[in-house]
Amino acid sequence: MRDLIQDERTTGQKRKIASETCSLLLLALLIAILYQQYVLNVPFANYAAEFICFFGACCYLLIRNITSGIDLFSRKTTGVKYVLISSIISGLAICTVTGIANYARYGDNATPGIWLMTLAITFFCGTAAAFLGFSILYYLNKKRQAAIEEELNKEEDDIG
Amino acid sequence: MKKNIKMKIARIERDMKQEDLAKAVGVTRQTIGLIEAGKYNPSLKLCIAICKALGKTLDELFWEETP
Repeated sequence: MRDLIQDERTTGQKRKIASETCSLLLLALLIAILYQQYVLNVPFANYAAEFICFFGACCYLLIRNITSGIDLFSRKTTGVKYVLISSIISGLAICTVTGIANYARYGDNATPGIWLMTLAITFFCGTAAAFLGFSILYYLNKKRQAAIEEELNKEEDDIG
Repeated sequence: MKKNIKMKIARIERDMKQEDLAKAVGVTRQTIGLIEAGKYNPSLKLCIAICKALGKTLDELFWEETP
């Protein structure tokens, strides 16, 4: 019996620590990428490893969540509304980060008109790109959830 | 892990769908499906919540009978 049962508390705590470490590492990678890209202005080759690691890890997290059947869009505001809100928030975040970086770089030379137009274009493109990404995720997630639902329907009242 | 037939029968007796039970205990339908299929080992907290929702005791739903 002693060999069969693991200490659940220890296992759970270890997993929690590993998960926290992963989150911290991803955050550190993101900060490193943004710092090198916008503050140090170094070429992409200098931070390519961090970039690949960060986006690779994000893709892995998304794929694993979807294939495991975890519903990524299980909130009350599901559907196109949720995708749209997430896209606008992402667009705003992209616009803010690139806006600050561009201001630091070209702030002295740009006129307010050009400046505002650049921000508007950045926001529009960022939102559109995020919308595309979230739509793909939403579609894949929905497809997987439908497959699970079908499987559960088959087994639901089948005793034996 | 063996299938939890007792839990499935108790749910059907109460005329509940997996979705209804899932809502009653605050988990996803998939979790209930996995418990019934014997593919997920629920925590004691979840077992108690399921028992309360189905009006059964822990013994009645989760105790393994000796062969």
